[in-house]
Amino acid sequence: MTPQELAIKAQELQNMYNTGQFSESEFKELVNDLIVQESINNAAMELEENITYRNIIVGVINVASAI
Amino acid sequence: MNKLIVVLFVLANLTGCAALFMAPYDSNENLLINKVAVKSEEMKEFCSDYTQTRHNVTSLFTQAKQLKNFSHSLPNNELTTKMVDSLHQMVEDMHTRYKNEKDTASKTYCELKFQSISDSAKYIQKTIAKRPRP
Repeated sequence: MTPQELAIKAQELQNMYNTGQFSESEFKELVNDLIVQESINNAAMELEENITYRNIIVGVINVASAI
Repeated sequence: MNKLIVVLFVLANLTGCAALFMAPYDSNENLLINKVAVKSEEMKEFCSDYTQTRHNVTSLFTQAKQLKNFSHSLPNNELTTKMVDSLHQMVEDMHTRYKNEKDTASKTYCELKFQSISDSAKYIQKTIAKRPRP
């Protein structure tokens, strides 16, 4: 989720809360979920980076082994 | 040439290279995440029925616990367990709210919560599918 998407979602939640679509505790939990989703995104990006680095390392090792 | 390979491995170990020693793609783990993603999407349709949703949330919580337990059992799987723990936390929060016999959760909360869980599960699934095959 980009910062822009996050801001839009947060704004939507606040609008829904202001129009009485859910309770205060539900609002707090749903906002907290946005933070949790962001932490999932960060871990996912780190994992993807690791996968890329791994592929590079494995590629170099394969070339070195073949020489 | 063997020396070069040894040097590369030593370097990787010295830098604590998590990238090289990561858990490979696991189809059981993928299946468990897929179940959470699909079920939460289906369960969203029953949000107007509190009793049914209460039952559904209990079932989803069991699935999330199975996923968490399985992911933690895989070696070198720290980043995936970090994501799975967060997903489990979201389901656990919902489960805690629906433990109550009384109809206290709103339909909008229910729909948004299931949607967040489903979106997060799909995102995790998409990411772990890129892990190297064993």
